[in-house]
Amino acid sequence: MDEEQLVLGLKRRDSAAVEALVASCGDRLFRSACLLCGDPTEAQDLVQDTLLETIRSAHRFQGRSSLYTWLHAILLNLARHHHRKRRRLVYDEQAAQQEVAPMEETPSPADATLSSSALAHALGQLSGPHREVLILRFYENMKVREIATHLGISKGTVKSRLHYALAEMQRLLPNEMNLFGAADTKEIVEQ
Amino acid sequence: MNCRRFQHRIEDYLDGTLSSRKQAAAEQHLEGCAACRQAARRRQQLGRRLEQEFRRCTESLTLPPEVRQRVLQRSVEQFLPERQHFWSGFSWPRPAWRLALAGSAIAALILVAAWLRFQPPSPRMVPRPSGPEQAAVSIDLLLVTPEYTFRPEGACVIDALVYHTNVVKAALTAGLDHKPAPIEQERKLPL
Repeated sequence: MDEEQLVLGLKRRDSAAVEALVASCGDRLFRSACLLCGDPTEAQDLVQDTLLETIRSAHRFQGRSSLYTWLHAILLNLARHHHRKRRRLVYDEQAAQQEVAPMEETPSPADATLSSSALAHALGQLSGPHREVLILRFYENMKVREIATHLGISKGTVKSRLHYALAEMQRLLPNEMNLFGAADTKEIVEQ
Repeated sequence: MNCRRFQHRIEDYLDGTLSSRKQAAAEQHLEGCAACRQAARRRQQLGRRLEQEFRRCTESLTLPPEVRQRVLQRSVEQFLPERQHFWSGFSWPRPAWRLALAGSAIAALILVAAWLRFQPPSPRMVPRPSGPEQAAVSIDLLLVTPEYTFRPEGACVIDALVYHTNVVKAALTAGLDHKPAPIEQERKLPL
């Protein structure tokens, strides 16, 4: 099923199209969500909500971007909403003491890879806007102008956020990102 | 192009989205500037490193089957045709459209009311008093006739348009033994 058929199917509320959407975009969206929020469990909820919201509002899709880009925009909005909601939660100490501690689940190897990753830890240290720009640029491989359109901000703001995010990553990951002493690099720009 | 400008455009340069003139200027600047050449190379390597890291720590992540199943199940419950009712094709318009529709309806009502208020009087039908001519009714007919006149005045022709209003009163009767009602005609002054 190509993208055009998939969109038509979603607009017609065709169950085969829903299955195709989950199969084609589910994993990619989940990985992006994991990077955005740093927590695979929260990412599952985000992806589930994103897919359901996509099915609900498929009639609004106008084809001005790819379907995945549209899905990702929904994911970003939901991630911001989740983040705001989480920040608004007031900690109730008494309630927390009464609450029975949940049984610790054994993380899957994949979850463990993410949570133990220095990169994921460093991403978690960045502010939301800086993290978003970095993921869109280097995980989703978007160009600066695509990121600007995607986030509804100017190209200048994208460049500025990218600059600070990269500087911060180099500060947080001196071993992984230290390229200043690399002697075996080629001058790619001179090709 | 100077160093500051090149640094500002470095992301566009790496994206290949500069115009041909700016691209040529950037390349010319790089040929003569070792610092910018090195900065571009580092930036490119940093990007590649980040891409690799992002891939490495997410490649084993897949959307769990239970989440897929939940999305399919909820989409069937909430959106798919099995649960649709006969009015499912109808949806309330968005708030802005609702306001616009309500405003249009009110404006239309005001226009209709104003039109009815300023309508010229129509012929009235007044029932005659009961008696031998029970079926008779008197009517007033309002006739407006235009009169267009020309008269020469010097080298010009003066024309004038006036309207005359005539009220014709008549009686309509039904039955076999009716008498024709007298007809009165009243000529009014021009409007």
